[in-house]
Amino acid sequence: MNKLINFIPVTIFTIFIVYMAIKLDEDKRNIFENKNYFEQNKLVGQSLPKFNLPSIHKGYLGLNYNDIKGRYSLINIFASWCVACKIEHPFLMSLKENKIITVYGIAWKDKPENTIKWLSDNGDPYNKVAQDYEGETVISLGITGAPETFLVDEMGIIKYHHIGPLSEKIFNQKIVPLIQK
Amino acid sequence: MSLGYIGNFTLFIAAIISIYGSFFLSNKNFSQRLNLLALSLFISLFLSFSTLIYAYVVSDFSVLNVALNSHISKPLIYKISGAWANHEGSMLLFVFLLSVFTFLFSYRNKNSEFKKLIIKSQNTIILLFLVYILFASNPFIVLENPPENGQGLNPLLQDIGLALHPPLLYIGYCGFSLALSFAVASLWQREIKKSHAETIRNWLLTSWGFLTLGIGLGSWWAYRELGWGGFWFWDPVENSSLLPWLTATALIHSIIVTQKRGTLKGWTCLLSILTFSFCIIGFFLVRSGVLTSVHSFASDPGRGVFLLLIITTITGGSLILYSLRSIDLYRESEFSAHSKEAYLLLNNIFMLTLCGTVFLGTIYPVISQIVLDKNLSVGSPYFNTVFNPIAIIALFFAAIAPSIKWESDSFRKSILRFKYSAVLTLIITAIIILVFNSLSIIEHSAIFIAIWLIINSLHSFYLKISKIGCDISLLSMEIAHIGAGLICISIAFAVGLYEERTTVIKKGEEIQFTDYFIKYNGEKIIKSDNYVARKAEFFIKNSDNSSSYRALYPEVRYFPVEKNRTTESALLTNYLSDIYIVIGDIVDNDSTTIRIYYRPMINGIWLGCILIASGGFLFVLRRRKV
Repeated sequence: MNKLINFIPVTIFTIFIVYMAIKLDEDKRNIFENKNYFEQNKLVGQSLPKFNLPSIHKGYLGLNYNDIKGRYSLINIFASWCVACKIEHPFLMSLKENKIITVYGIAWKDKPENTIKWLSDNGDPYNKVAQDYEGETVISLGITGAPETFLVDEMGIIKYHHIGPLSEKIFNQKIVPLIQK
Repeated sequence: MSLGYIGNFTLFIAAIISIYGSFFLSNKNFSQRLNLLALSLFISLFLSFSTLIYAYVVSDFSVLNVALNSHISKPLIYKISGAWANHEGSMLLFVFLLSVFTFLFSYRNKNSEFKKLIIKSQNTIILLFLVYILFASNPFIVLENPPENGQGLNPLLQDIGLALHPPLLYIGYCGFSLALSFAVASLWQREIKKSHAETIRNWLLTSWGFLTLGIGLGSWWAYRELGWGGFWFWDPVENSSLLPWLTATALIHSIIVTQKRGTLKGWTCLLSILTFSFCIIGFFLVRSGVLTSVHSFASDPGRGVFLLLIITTITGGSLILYSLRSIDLYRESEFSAHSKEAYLLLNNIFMLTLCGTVFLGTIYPVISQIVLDKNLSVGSPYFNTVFNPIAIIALFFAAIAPSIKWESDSFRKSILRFKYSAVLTLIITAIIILVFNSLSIIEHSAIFIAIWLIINSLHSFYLKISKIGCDISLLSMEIAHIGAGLICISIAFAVGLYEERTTVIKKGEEIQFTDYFIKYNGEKIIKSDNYVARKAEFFIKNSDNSSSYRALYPEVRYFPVEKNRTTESALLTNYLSDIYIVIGDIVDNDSTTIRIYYRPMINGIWLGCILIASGGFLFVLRRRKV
């Protein structure tokens, strides 16, 4: 048996590893640039879909798509049962305390009483909070989970869609540049 | 005090022990303490795994893993199985099982340099995965503000078949770690003693048996639960379990040659390395997100990098050792071109070829994306066209090899041994082909080969019994081969005579489908704890009027909390065949769409898997030497 034949397995293996490493690198870059494999978010650049959601508080005004105009604002989809929402919550509070940007909240698939309790326990970073218990309205926003956040401009056009917890880093790197344009 | 802290502590202790075991075993004193080392590693990982299970049982939502994957109203048994149904938990199960095998191997073998090398290798593997778990995949992350309830109530995962599937597979995977360690130890010592090969053979067959059962269970589950009537989709996750199975099948045959004749040593080492490597490469493929799949876990490239590094270390290191030292494994005997060894070598080549085709098909989408910048997917047509014929030819030789002598056998004389079985096979196959005249050429070939294999195995059965008496544990090879033949012929019928009909049916209407009359009696709405369902009633009877009507109740279940729905198919099993009804959307007040499948002989596939696994286990449990 030629000694060289024995090196074939390790050679094939090396080629495999190199391919996989390249692919992983590509995937990492795609996720950072917020490109989904499955579909580009078709809503970026479109107007907010028409919606009208009730408030979590009885007797209070809810959230209408027309309310979200006049200046840049964020719409944040969250829920009391959502574990990752807790991770972004302190940052949302800091946005409110430092008066950086208005944030509207939509409680998704959450009983209003649970949302209210969660906000009173943890703090309420929202200008207004609406509820979408069935989850039907937020489907038009392409929501597949919580938390998710949209940047909307003064005309009601969606400028950015972030899936997952919002962080200061992402806010500064992705959202602030869009506002400053 | 969160259980997460206890869990992390036990993992930390296990990591320390495995550092000891990987790097500090050169000292002569430690060699005597091998059993103690293996025991302590096993105990710490046992505590680790038990802590996770316990956290699920008591619904301790301060543990992030439990909060994401469990729920207070989950039935207890699914709370427990939820522990390993997610990425982090299943990695912990994997490492725990590695320590189980290490411990068992240690206690069943006397201390020796060989044993020490194996324990060292096992500890290194365990250490690498423990580092991964501790830093990139920790199930014991603690939440400072635990939620009141968990998020994990996916109804599709609450199924007993799915609960058992990972443990069975992982017992198989982890057992093969011993094979890799065996190869590394042998290459390091530049020799394979026959006694070593004999020792490892038991571990190989045990693991292989469990892997066979795990794959069979997964396939059976998919068939019953997914409602498409299919049993194998060439999905990347399925392929990941098939790849090590193929190399392992080659390995259990190759090691016989090494044990009895002291040859094919290089092959045995290479196959040992490849089998465990495919197990961990499979982990990488399905968990890193490079391939998207029907059942991928949360894909995460960061996770993928770490796994890739582990694979590079384990597989790359072993293969480099193999490249440099396999020529030092001297041949203890020679064999001619027509000998049992030659046939088993041919089997190695066949299995490796099958492995290559499946592997290439599975990773082709990745390669094409990098090289051609195209998004391709490779599906069943490729796999079936390339895999099936090669597999069938390999089975042909499986019928012949057992009767061929070691070292050298006369070609003419060996052909004559098959005169009766050949004639019998041809007759039976001809009858079947005439009766079922709608089959294709490849199905004819599959049936011929399956019967050829079964008849020759029965012949071998008979010869052995008349020589040494009826001891079923010595007939393990025949039983496994008959199982393989059964799978082959069952697939030929299940695919070749498959029938399916999609239609709208009205309440009170009766239709005919193959040999059956099916009557639809309308549906009811039923409520259960966490779902609402449409439950349809069908009465089905065989058209030969010999049997009476039997009732079938397919359902569509709606889970309001998860906004999910599942279809529960209804099966009627007649000997080995199935009639399968699935209901679709309602058409109007008393009509519904239904899909009916006829799968002849399909249960032969699962029965065949059980036979194959039994063959493996029977050998390990035998009382006499073979």
